[in-house]
Amino acid sequence: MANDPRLIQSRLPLQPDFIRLAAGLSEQAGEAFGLGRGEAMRLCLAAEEVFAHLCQSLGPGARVELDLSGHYYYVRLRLRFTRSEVDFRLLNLAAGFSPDRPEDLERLGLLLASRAVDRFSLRALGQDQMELVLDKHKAYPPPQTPPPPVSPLSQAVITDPGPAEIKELARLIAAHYPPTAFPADFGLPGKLADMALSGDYALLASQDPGQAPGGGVIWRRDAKAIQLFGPYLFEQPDHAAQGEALVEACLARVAKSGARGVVCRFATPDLPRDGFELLGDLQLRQPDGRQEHWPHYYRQLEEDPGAWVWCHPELRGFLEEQYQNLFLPRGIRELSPAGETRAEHSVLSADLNRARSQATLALVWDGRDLTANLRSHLAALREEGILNIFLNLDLGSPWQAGLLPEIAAAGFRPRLLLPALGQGDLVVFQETAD
Amino acid sequence: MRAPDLDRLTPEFVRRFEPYMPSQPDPELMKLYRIGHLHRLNNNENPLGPPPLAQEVIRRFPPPRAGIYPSGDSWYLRQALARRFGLDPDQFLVGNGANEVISFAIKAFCQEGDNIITADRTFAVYEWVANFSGFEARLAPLKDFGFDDEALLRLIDRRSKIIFICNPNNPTGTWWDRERLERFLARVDGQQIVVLDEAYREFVDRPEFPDGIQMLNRHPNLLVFRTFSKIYALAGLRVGYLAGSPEVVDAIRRTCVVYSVNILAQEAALAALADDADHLAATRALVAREKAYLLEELAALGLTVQNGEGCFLMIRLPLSDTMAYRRLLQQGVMIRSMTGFRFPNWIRVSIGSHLAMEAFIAALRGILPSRS
Ligand SMILES: Cc1ncc(COP(=O)(O)O)c(C=O)c1O
Repeated sequence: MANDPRLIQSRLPLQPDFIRLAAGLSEQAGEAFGLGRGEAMRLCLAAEEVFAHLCQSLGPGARVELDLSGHYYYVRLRLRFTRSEVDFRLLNLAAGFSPDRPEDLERLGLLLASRAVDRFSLRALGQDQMELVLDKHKAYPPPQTPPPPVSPLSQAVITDPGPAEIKELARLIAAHYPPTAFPADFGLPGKLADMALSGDYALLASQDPGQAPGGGVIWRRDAKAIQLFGPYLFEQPDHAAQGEALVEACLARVAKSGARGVVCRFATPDLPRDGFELLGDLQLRQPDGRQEHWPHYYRQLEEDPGAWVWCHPELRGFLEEQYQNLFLPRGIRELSPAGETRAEHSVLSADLNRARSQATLALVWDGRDLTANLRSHLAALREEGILNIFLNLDLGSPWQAGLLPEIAAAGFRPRLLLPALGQGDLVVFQETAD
Repeated sequence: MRAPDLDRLTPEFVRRFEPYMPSQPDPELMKLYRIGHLHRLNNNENPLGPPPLAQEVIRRFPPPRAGIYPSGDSWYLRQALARRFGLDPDQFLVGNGANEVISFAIKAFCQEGDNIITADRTFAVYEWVANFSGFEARLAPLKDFGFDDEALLRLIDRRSKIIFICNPNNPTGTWWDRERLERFLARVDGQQIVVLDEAYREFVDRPEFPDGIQMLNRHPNLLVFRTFSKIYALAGLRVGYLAGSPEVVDAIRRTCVVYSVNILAQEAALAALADDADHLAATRALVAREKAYLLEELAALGLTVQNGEGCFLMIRLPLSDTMAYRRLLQQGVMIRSMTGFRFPNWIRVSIGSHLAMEAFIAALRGILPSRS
């Protein structure tokens, strides 16, 4: 770690004098790690906004750990700082935004910074530490050559594709599947190859020596879950069998990774439904106003040990139904607020993906202004053109569970349950306009 | 007080490693799964319990002796094993379950940069101990559910120290006969330690099945692991052992933990050895009878089965094995889901009492999608 050539670590005082240093470091590291000139400038801009904002919110005397790391297809700027008693409400993405004054948006440093990058996330690391992560992706050209011709594989074997085959897979996926069936990144051959190189993603291909891949499966390792994409099959008469073999090979690969489950949000018809459970559907709003179903499939990797979860009485019906459908052994402990003292201000984390027009919020610290804070996040995100806003509630954390009425008051409705993917089970809420 | 700097204190390979979380104790699971009775068919335990004499020793154990240290190297037990197998007591090392002797062997032979070789779908502890000790585990895919000798041999390099063969293999029940094992050992030619894990050896009643301990004299690089957990039903007391040539065992003795086998475990194991003739026969008969019953029922359900030697078999299901685990457990039957063995959508069921087998079949029938 300490001598990783793709990591630059620094520790800076949070003073306006150092804004230019933080910004310059980000720009130069961005270029050194492979960003183009324009992308590096945008990262520089984001760093400047964020740093200035933190100087203002955390006040003098504070320090920030500022790391830049190269991940082949993106550069990550990470800032870690200790929660300060000084106005930490400013750590909210939408701090200071009021729906009555949309022009405020131009003053919101974090939101401004988020516009310049591809992914923005603000989250709590523990009791005292917070982390801001900004990812700037490298730009890649669309496929330059048509996809290779495909033909039925006579003897399909599952292999680890090399960089050249990965690029073929990207072209084949883009040519054979509608854009809704895969994340846009997968259609860029160079990007998919770099995504595999970075270690964030892994791929398996169904191949016959000397032929183009008949299919492939892609997965991503997140903290507790594997995200599976596909399987993608290209005009194979035995697509179901090849798809099953690909998925089983993927499951065997991740079986001992420590991940608790596999989530599939981009399932193709060849995902063997037998081996997965349907968690439910989210509704995705499209820019043209259409609603699209977004089914989520899941399977655990581990034997479920059972758990006790916290829940507000109003969520009980939803949870019992989910637990019954998934045969999950859960003891439910009810709790509701009873007038106990609360802090004044709440803090929310936010994970923002503009390309997908999605934001996911989560609760970091409770406060009396929670409903108002949720509302200003919703308003600010809508102003930003984000169509789909979710909120994750962690049932392993009692204080969160008690906040259901306030979450509901802000317009969120429970949609599905992700077993064991938080400290406990996660309930995904979606903001509904009604 | 400052929190310890775990980034600095813990080696990189430990930080990368996911901790193993054993399942909750039965009473906790039963509460959450809302069941009043549990058939444990997940750990290949013997439903008959320990041999009668071992039961007697356990029942009569004088409590004050719990205050006294046991023999540090299981002296009497090694004498008894030596008599049983016609070897020298110094050719045995006893550990806190066969699991512990796996660690002894890896510690004795591996240093930084070394590797061990085994199959990708076998008992997990060889790979696991190697990984968390910072050594590479090289894995050869099974072939037709069995250990693939050629693939194992291909993985050998200068830094390969131990090859682990599980015979019969847990979970597939496949096995190498004497001739195949001899051929393999000839190819290895003493360059590596070959471990033959015979945890389920005593369940096998076939003349062509090798007996590793009888082969030790001709193969000084061979190590055999056995356990009192399986057919002898002393899993809760934790006793297992290894046997090898005097030189190899002497090397391992340097790294082995003394006093790790408790006094009751040593005495119960001694008694189990002394009174095993009827017990072994009765257990084999039970396994044969109940396996036949299971195979018939599973065939009627139209399920694919992988069955070989040992007190277990594997079943392929038309649903995820982790879902099957939950649904079967909700009916009071605990099986092993096999994703963790890299067999997604398979389960392994241990052979238990007839009552347990009936309960398993009934519960299984209840979770299978109706065939149309
Ligand atoms: C193949 C194999 N080897 C070794 C062991 C370890 O047995 P123990 O540590 O209980 O002696 C087991 C137990 O499941 C096993 O299946």
